[in-house]
Amino acid sequence: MLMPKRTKWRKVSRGRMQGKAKGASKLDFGDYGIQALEPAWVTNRQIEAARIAMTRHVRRGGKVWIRIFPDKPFTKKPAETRMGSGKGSVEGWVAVVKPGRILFEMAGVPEETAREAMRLAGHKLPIGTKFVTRADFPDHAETSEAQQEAEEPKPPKFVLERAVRREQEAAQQQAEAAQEADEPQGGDEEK
Amino acid sequence: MRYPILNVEEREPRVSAGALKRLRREGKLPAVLSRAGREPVPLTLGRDELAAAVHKTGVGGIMALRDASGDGERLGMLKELQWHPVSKQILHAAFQEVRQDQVVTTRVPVALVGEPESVADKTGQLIRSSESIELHARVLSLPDKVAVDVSGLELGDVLTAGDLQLPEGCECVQPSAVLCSVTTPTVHEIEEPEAAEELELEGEVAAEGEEAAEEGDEKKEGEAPEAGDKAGEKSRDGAGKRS
Repeated sequence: MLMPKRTKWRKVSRGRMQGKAKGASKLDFGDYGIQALEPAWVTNRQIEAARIAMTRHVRRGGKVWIRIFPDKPFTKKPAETRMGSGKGSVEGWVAVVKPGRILFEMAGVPEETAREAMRLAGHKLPIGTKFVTRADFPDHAETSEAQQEAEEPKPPKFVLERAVRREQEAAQQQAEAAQEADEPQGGDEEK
Repeated sequence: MRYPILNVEEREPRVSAGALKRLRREGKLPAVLSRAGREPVPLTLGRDELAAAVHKTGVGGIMALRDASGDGERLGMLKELQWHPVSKQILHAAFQEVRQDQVVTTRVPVALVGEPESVADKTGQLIRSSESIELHARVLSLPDKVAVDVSGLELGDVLTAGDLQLPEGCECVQPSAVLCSVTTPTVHEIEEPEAAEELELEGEVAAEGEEAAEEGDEKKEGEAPEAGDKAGEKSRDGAGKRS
């Protein structure tokens, strides 16, 4: 379960959840993501449940990034306790999520698989969410196959170097094989 | 390089927030064109027009700003784009005026063409880390996008910006920046038996806690709890500190 290793303060104030997400409102790692539409405290248990739901659907392949971390402790007073006598004990950990925040990202799977995995994950969260892809963001530059074909793509430098090296090695091996084939014939002639 | 053309209008420098909201409601956007050593020019342009242009060039692209008053065309580099985090509607654009012979540092989109063999036979997966690279070049020699053929990549290969074959006159600012990598797909293990055990354990703990709490209540009513009885202590702490 996600939680901080150590904290500066044991208990913190509740705070407010006004406004929209200031950062992490864009896909920075994966190709697909799930975005929060409402503000909420998301507990570490909910994050873990969503992660398990996602990975269970994907099973093989795919990489998942968790973009929220439950770093805020929340406290609770024991049941049937009178008011007063200080703040309650730490009950769990939450991540403060504001609308627009990317919660999870995924890459290395087809869009349909990612969409379904994110839908299942969304059901484990206490807020409304939206599936997003890179193309949904205004700063995304389209590099579709149709446009790429016209441009004659070049392979990376190291791929070219590797191809040349392989050719050289193959030529060397052929030469060695030919030399080995020649040697026994020469020996027979001597006998 | 063909620059996308944007029709712009100059607007008054200081406009109220309400006026800007009205502008956005009409499908237009406030923008600004910064000029070296001169006052910036506040502009108005069409939102859809800009969205289409950004879709081609990305942020950092060079665009031709055509003045509606017939003042000619100016080249502007899109420095910053602001949008609403939820609705994704563009709110504001900031341009930097550039000349064709000027040397600039900007981002250019990278197009990955083809599919590595290991990805095709599902023994590997292509993870894309960045969609663009930072180039240092003259405006005239900047490409629309840099296309790279990734079909030759093998499992474990990492493609960095320094590995690209760039057009003449273009210099990569950060050659170590990773663009994509081919990695082994992770197999997500489903730990169902462990999860069940965990649940059982939690259940036991909860049951023990309840029992302890009950004991504590009984002791509270009757006699004082023992020193080692934590539940009793907790209930005492909760109730009697301020009294």
